[in-house]
Amino acid sequence: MKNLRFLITAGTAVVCLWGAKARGDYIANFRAPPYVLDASVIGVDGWEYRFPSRANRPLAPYEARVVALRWDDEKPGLRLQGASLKRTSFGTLSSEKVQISFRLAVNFADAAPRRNKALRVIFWPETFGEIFFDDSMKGGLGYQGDGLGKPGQGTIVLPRAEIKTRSFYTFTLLLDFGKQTYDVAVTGVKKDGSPFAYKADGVEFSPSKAPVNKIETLLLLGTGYFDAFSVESR
Amino acid sequence: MKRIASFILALAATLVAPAQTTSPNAMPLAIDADFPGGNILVETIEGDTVHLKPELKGTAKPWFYWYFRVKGAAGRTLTFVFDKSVMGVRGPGVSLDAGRTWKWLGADAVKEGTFTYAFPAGANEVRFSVGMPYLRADFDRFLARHKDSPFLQVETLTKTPKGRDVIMVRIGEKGTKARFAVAATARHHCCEMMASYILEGLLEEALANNATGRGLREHAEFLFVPFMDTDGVENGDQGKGRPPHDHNRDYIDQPIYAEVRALKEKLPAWSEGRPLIFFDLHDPALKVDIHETVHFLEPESRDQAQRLDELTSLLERDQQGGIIYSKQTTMRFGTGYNRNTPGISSGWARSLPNTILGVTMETAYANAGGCEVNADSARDLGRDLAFALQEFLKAHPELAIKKLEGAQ
Repeated sequence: MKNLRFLITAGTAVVCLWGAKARGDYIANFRAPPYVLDASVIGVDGWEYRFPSRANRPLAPYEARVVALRWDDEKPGLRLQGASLKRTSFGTLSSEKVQISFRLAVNFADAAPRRNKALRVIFWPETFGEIFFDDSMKGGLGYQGDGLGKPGQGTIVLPRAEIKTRSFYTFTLLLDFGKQTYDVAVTGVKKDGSPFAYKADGVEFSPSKAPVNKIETLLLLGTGYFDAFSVESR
Repeated sequence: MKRIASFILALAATLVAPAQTTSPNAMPLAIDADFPGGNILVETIEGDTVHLKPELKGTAKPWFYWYFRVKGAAGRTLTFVFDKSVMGVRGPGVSLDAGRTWKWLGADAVKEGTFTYAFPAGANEVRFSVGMPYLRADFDRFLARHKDSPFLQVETLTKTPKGRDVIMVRIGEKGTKARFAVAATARHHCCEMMASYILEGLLEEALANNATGRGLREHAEFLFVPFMDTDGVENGDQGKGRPPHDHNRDYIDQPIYAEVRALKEKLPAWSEGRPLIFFDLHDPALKVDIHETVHFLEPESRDQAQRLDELTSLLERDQQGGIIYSKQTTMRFGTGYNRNTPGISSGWARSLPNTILGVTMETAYANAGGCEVNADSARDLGRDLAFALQEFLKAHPELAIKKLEGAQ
């Protein structure tokens, strides 16, 4: 009887996982093939240089590498260092709602010259803009509708003084192409160790742009850590 | 009725009296440095204001190391007045657990060398220091965590004049002879405690059962001497500038310090002609300019300078720690205080025929390029250095072959 119950439970779990996977249009957790530890993701699974000429830079192979994260129990993650990459394929997004999620971590000096937008995760068309880490004095983790990346613009959800460095923050964006709005949720841990959660629903796509019904491109620019990226039809 | 009232008063007195004597508030205020690493001169205590200064303990020039504890101040707020030249840029280190863990009080808490501290109600003992002291007991705790490691061998390099063991640690895969020999020392200047956390990070990674640890041990055998001035560390000496010269000026024909004499014998014998990389870990002065960075002192030899450049490029590229290292800070040979100083350890190491890189590394006490230096971030920097070293060794098998050919 115990065995039967176990089989039913296991079978249900497999079906659920299969269903979840089937709904996922694109998933990259950087922990399994085709991703390889200590290797660049450029040329793998659709990741490419934003500008092909960047491939000629001496440090180009190191700008987007899967590495063992020494601050995260050696788990693999994508390390971005002065990166400028893009990917343009997200499978067939079959519904009016699409959920994007990923994890970001950053590291910065608490008392040093500021670099402004140090990390940007940009979605094109730019109607639902970008997620960023703004390293300027009044910056922090935030999001912005127009994708222009200007310093001081956008909504700061966690000021830099409260960010725990080298700790992942999970971002979830639920896009509604029908309503031309999106929901933003961010969770993680603050510098003082307390839990952090942010949510904003129904944020309008940039009103100055033409309506959109799909994601065309993702750009990853700057320095930080990126992990557990998924794009799913909902 | 009178009798009952008297009994109640007497009972109340009996109950209250012991409470007063055992209350922390009833303890007299005591400030001392009578423990390992302790160092302070209390000049005056007037009300809630205490004037203090570091005890030079034989060092000829003014230096800034101090470490004291306060008892009997629970619930009080005291002001501690130092000369501003002996106060670090993030204020004093504060420990509420007898020196096991530390936090900076913060720059905002300090004005012109003076800081005020509100002692928590239950804090029977609070320790303060110019840094985050690291003593033999801290290293013993580290060793205890790794006591079952098959790669670790703890030995005694020599005895100090005061009879203490000078501890030496060797790390390597048993039964194999790695191609490279890597040695690291710290506390030639005993006050420079933040270097010990770097050493601990380096050791931790060399012992680790992960890709970096395995890679390091595949290529190299390690020798560490964590306290080159063991007596000075435990006595709470300044060490820097100790007359007639300090431990890091003692690599001369006739060294006067037992630790230096022993290392001069041990290191060449242990390395057995294998290509040797030698790190001597230090902290610079307390603040300002280059002293608020992590920096390496470039060797004079072009070959070694190039190897250092490569190693620091790897460190800059692959670092993941809280201290963000920039190789731009490398102090070129012939500039600043990076000159041909007689008797320094890294200079002596470079003079050995099998040395491929001998280098001094300086890590700021509290602030490195805007990043907080503390026990954790310094350990992480040590781990980052270990990772870069592993990449360097992996990329240069030819250095081992060349040295072997040269030896034949």
